[in-house]
Amino acid sequence: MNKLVKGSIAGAAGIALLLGGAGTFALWNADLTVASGTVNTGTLDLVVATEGAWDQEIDNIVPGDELTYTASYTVNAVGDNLTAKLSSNIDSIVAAAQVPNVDVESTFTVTDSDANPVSAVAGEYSFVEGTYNIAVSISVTFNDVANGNAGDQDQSIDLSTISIELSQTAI
Amino acid sequence: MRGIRVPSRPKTRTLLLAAAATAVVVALIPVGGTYALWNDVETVSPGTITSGSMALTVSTPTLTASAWSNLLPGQSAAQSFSVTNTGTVAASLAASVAVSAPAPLIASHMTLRLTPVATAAACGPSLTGGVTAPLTTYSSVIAAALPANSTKVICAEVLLNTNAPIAVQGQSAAFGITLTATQK
Repeated sequence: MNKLVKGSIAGAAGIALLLGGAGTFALWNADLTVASGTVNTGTLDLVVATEGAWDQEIDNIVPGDELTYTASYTVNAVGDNLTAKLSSNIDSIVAAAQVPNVDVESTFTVTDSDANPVSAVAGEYSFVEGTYNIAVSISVTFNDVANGNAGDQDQSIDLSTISIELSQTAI
Repeated sequence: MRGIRVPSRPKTRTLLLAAAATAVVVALIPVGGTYALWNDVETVSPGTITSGSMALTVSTPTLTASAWSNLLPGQSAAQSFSVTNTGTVAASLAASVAVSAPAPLIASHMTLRLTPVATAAACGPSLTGGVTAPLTTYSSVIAAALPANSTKVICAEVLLNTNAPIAVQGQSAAFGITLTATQK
């Protein structure tokens, strides 16, 4: 009988002895709950609050026309350590879209949930946790200039690429 | 002992290679540690604004003078021309007359009637619906609506007044009609 077979027999005998003793001791037991709770992730969301619209539909504007576009958006920022910044290309788009005798102006107003204004630093608005409102307005005024020039006829003012971007900032 | 195989020891070179590979992987982990920050974009869609245009063309820049030559008192002659708004906005059409100086006596005894008509064939004397005024002082809106890209045919009738004095015999008066389209 080699060593392997002898070892197996000895091991089997040992296990049998241990099993024979099972159930005869009262084993102590205690447990605790580690109350670490639930971890929730936050939110950073930019949504349309009021769908943008012009106050009047004009296919071709002419001297004397005044029209205004308004829209509003909501920022939902939830997160104890969340900081975010908001920027928009609205001012540069509007500045580039000028036609003689036509004034195009934009307003971009950010307010917090208490209607206090949030001011921009270098064109960027900074946020911490909270709900914010963004009001966008674009006014187009075609000045009534006597003997207006032909340079303002058949012109296009392209405002189709305006966007608002909300980005979380690294702490 | 005979039945058990002892695995051969890995060669030193293999161990070194494995260590080197682990070192490379470990070195990459801190680079991958930057996390994606949240970002959201909304578009503002006011679209494109287009300004209109206005341009006026006249089919017959020079009317035929002979058409109203040799008029007798109470007699009139008419001819038509068409005016087109080639722009993209609606207009109203006005006409004013300038008699070439020095204005002869006959000019103050003539009457002009400008009437929008459906076709040139409808042009003739004594039409209604137009604006009639003394030639020398003619200045009036003759078509309230000249929509974008539309044409109006205007019938011009020149009348030598019935009470024209004999002194106007043989006279002629040159006049121009200025047409003005005004944005509505």
